[in-house]
Amino acid sequence: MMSHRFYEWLAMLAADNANLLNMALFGLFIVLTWEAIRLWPPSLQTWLRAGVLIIGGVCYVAFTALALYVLVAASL
Amino acid sequence: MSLLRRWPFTFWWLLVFEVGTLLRAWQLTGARMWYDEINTWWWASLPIERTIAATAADVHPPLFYLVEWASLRLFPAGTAPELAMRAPSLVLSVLALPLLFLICRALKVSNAVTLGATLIMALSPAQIYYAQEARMYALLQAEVLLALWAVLTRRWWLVALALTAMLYTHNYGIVYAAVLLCLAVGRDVMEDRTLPARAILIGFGVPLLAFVFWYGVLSHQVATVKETWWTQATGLGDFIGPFYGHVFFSSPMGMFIPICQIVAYGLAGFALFKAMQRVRTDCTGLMLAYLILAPMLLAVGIEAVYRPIYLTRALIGVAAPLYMLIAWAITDRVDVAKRAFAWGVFAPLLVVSLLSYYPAELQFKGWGYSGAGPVIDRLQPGDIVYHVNPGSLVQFHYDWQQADTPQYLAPNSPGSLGTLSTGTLQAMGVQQAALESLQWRRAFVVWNAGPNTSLSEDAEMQSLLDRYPHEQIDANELGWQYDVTDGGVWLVWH
Repeated sequence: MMSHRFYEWLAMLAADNANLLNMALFGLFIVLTWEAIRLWPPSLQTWLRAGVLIIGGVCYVAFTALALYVLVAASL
Repeated sequence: MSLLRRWPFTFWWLLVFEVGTLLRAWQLTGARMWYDEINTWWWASLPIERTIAATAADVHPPLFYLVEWASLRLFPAGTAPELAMRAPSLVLSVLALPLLFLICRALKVSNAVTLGATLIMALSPAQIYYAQEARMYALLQAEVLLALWAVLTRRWWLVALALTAMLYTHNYGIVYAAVLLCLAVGRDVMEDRTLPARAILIGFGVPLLAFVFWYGVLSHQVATVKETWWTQATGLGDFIGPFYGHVFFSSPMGMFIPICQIVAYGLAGFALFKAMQRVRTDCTGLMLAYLILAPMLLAVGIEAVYRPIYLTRALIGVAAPLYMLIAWAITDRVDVAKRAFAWGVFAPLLVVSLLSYYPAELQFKGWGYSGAGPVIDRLQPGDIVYHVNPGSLVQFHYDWQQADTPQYLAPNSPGSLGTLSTGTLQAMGVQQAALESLQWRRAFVVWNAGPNTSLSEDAEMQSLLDRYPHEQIDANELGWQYDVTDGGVWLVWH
């Protein structure tokens, strides 16, 4: 028989597992989106790729800047 | 690119190697040793037959502990245990970089891919963590890489040597040996070559024969550990965990974690996709994908018939192929702009995770309840220290300098998971006895309860406190956001 600590730990492991899975799906979604652009008419592909790159770039920079800010703020 | 071309490849590779070496050596002794490292130190400090006995009654084969046994005696007396115990891992982790280089040469990948893979390995916080840990994972990785290079270059006696060492280092050695055997056989079948049966027999038969000395011990470990093993069933997220864990590691980087995870999984997914796409023209990606996925799948297969064994750290043998696959996917036959884009997304995150590694490691290894401080402050002649489980006893071994004060351990509580066995405790020279059978006036009762501590131990502890007058002098409050730890230190008297 295990204590409540064991079941709290299982909940922690399940949360980690779900989190890893969500992020993996998100990462794969981005890769597949990029690859799926090949299926669109050639005239649209350049615009779609530019759109994905701009949105992705803005999100990446914004998220990284925010994360850096939090990291620096936490260390002060 | 012009900057890269101005100096020869060897210059850049040596520069990356140098940076990787310095990063592994920096702060080597900065963090305190954690529970598993203290056990390594304790076992390595015993006479050699007791080192082997302690290992045999635990869960691992003995080679790494023998390396540590030798390391402890090679360093002058008085050397900090952190240095003597972590030095072998540091050397082996540094050695992994040239081994990676040799494998890249054997696979005939370009200089750019070789440089990229070495860069990822040099900067990965996961690699630096294992380089600075007194555990067997840097040794296991070096052995896997040596065996892989020997298989690729058909050096069969070297295969035999590396696999024998691997089997005696970690039980996952069996997984890697099976994967490398299939690679050796499969490659010749695909290339329509006659199977070099004698060579395969040397490379893979000799290690099996050499392992015969430990096979009986392994069978006993497998049978006894099955009921008290602590890992839990592998979910899909855990299964793909090595793609993230071996690149960015799991240091507490706050908001960087999701972005690193997305990039790690995106890169791994893209690299595997490209490996499948290129399979008709270039088998490099396929072979690397096999070296990554086969050990992971085999571990899950063993889990299906035995019990949960899947551990990201034991899958360190897939790390180098993962670095090569990622470097290959974003470099090989990729035009300069796309290459710059991919490295531009990936490299800054790698650097940030590396920078956050050092403070995170101090925090991680500092985690673990000792309780030695409050005891030392109140110690009087004639006092004894009584540990309810081995957790605090091992921590005391590191923090405790009061050799004259007797320490005892309660007899093993049934139902607790992952605790040291009676055989290991005997080899360590631990005195196990019930508190009522001992002579004492004042006793410090130390109880360190984690998630794997059973209810029977909670009940034993409560019953002990019901029998004697007591005062709690310290509490274990290391529960993160979850309430996963309990316990503290009680001063108990007759």
